[in-house]
Amino acid sequence: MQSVKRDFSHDVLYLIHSLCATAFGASSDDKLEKIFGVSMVQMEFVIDKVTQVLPEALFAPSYHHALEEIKNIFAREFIFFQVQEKWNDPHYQENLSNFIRIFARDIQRHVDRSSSQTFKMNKEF
Amino acid sequence: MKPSKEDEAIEIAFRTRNLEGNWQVRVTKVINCCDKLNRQEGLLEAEKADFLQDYALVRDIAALKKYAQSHDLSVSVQLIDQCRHAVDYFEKPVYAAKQATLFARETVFHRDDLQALFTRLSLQDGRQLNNRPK
Repeated sequence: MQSVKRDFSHDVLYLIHSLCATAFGASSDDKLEKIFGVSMVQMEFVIDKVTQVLPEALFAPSYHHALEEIKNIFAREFIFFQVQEKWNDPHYQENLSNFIRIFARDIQRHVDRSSSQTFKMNKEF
Repeated sequence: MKPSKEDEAIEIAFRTRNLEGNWQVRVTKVINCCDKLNRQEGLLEAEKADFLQDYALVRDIAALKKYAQSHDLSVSVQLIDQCRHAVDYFEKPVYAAKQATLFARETVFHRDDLQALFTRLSLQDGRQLNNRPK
């Protein structure tokens, strides 16, 4: 994995930990595993998997300004997805694939809108 | 860009994946919690216990709003609207903030929304504790 994507994944994981610590006082791995139904290793694997399918444009220097926001959106969306799931549920992989597809699609739209807006602004100036 | 029919079908299946068992009771609980918080009342421990999971379900239903007119959904439009209001209640301060900024349309939500939600809950909790008879 490219280092920029690895850093992105680590930051998202950190945000998830930090949100859960704020929200539930759940700072230990055990507590997080209870909330999310996955081990920390599994959660890291899932976050990496989602990161891999995000648009490449997101990791370009020109998009740096929005990356922090995307990380926060990612952390929040993942929490609301994973809190309803269990790793060993027979439908988990299918649900995860759909989550990834929808999330990646929404982020792609975000990138497209951003690009067209920048293009429009460049034309105006 | 309009999502493809396949995309729409996948999203609807995904958002409705947990509509089984006592899901209507769970949704009603969240809507009632919003009403209580609106009235500046605290939540009971039992109401808070499953709140995150139940709120996540409500969020999924609220996301069906864009498909309500064009698809035959297993959830009524009225319930989708109720869920939408519940989500707006928790995330509206963020919505208002995003309206105020030039690039807010792109940001969708702000990081503080989840924290704000639980800060609000813990404040309510604190208020409830303070109001207990000594």
